[in-house]
Amino acid sequence: MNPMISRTWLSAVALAALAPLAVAQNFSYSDQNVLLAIRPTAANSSTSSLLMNLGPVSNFYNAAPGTSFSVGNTALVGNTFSSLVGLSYSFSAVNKTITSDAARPLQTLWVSRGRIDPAVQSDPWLDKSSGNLANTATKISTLGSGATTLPAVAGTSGAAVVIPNTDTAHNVGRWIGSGTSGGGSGSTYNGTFQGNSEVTKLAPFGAAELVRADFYEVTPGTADAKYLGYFQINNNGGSTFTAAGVAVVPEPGTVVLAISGLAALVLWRRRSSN
Amino acid sequence: MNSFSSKVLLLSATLGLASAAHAQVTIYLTGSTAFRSETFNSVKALYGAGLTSLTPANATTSSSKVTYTGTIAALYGTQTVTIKSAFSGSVEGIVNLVGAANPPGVTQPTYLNIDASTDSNTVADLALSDVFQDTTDYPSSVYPSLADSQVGVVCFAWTKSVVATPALASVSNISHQQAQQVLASGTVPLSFFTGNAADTGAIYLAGRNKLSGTRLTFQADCGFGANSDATLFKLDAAHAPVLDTAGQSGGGNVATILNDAAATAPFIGTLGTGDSSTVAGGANRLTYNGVAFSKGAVQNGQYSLWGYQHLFAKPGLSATKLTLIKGTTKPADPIKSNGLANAIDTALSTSANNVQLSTMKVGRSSDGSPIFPN
Repeated sequence: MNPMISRTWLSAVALAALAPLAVAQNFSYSDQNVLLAIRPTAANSSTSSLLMNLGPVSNFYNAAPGTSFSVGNTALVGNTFSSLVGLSYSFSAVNKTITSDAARPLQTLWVSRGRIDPAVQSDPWLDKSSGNLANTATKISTLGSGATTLPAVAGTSGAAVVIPNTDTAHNVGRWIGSGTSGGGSGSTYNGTFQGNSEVTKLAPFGAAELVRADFYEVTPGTADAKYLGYFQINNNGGSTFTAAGVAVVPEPGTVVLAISGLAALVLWRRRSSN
Repeated sequence: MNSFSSKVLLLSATLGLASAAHAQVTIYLTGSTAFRSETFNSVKALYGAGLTSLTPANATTSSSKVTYTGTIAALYGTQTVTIKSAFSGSVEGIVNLVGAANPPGVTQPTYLNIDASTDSNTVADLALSDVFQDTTDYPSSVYPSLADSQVGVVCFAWTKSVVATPALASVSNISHQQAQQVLASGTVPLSFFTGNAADTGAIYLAGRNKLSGTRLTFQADCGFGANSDATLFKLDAAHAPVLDTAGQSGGGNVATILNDAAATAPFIGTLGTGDSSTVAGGANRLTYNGVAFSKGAVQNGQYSLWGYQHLFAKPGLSATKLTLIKGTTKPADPIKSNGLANAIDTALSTSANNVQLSTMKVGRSSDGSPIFPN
């Protein structure tokens, strides 16, 4: 057999064998995965939204204090949207199935909140009753699980899907947008949530603009939600998460020891000089 | 034409006719479990005396898999017609017909051969559905549009369990706002329904999986959102409530939970009226927004928990198989044909649970939408 033909045949057979692997997979979503939803407001003419799965929320609440890491697929933002102007970002996750984590019971939400001043942490969301949180949990969960019926963007390992605004079943705005059935103006997740989870870019690609959204863990209860850190929306459309730092407060015993040590040092110096 | 050509032509025609005379028509039917009783009765009626085999032989109106064989003279003359039905949910049927990749956890049903062995074919020809295609996560704006023949009205009822919890006796009604909350949280205090603050015990929700038209209808009608993720519970081996992350695959399974007298907590569940009638003989149905289910309340617009029963066909289905729906007469309204649509309509005339389209005094444009006088 002509070696050239043989090689061509082998290549063809190899490609045919690989073809099934190239079949697009569906969007992948599990409970407690963090969803990044990017949707156009009226100021952006895009006809689609972008939904990304950022992985387990434990990666965020277990992140070492003060550490930063990139999240999502930055290139995909550039491929999907011609401009950053008027794009709203929101980050959310929910526990609707795991009953074994006492610290994060059923209906626990993880929801972003945009900063008014990028340098200052926003007021935390408030913990609410389980029944209250359940309504928002439904919206977040449905956004993710509903997208599993759609083919994911090729090459994203099932972690991203582009949803046309005309797709009424999966439309991101339908699940995250504010509603009129309670919750007040600007409250997201069809008016079921206590406020607006979205933060909006105002400057185009490449222009300097600092946009940040804090990430909170909202559990059934009556306290303030737990602050986990913040997302920064970068000028290329990508996002970076920075885990909350820990302010080091010395324990009383440590303070006493330090004062004693200092006193001893002063005493020693006086005796030395005498 | 010479003699040889004539003979060849004659032979071909003879073979063709013989082939047609002996050709078998096999039609795969899937979809709604809530409507399986009417489907069973209507398919049997369509065969009439021509039915030669039923698999399993003891199949009943509640069987989820039945294979019928015989002749349907009015539609197919002397050809043997085999209808293989396997039901696991309205949305599952639509997923099948549009050729969508199955969402996680979805397995298409298999069918029964005449000898009761498994026919592993998983591609259906027709699907019965309690909901419009556009109500599902597989709308015509994204997936192929399915030809829709509306063949009846399928009804549903909130139903409470039979467990002997005293406060449960006072649970008699559910409003659409209460329904939204129960679907979201899956459990609420009994006082939420009884109005008695002392009823602090919990009541739980049992329901269907996301492939169910029953589930979509309940959720659409109360405004919860047809495809929203509900929180559901089921019973464990100790008859205690535990989270049901998938939901039940059939109405019969939900009825089983509600019928468990040993359950350690009360439940309410979402059922088609057929399955609901198996819980305390239908006596445990709740009123919905203050209105009790009756065929008259559905026909006249007081009771809103109902949807159209749709008979969807796979895109590009052969004319031979389409004949099953619209018969040989093929009128604009398939109910007026001599096909399956008409047989379903006839079966509904004696149904205690579902309603003939022609008797409806009201209509609606989509699932859960406003009801208007016809």
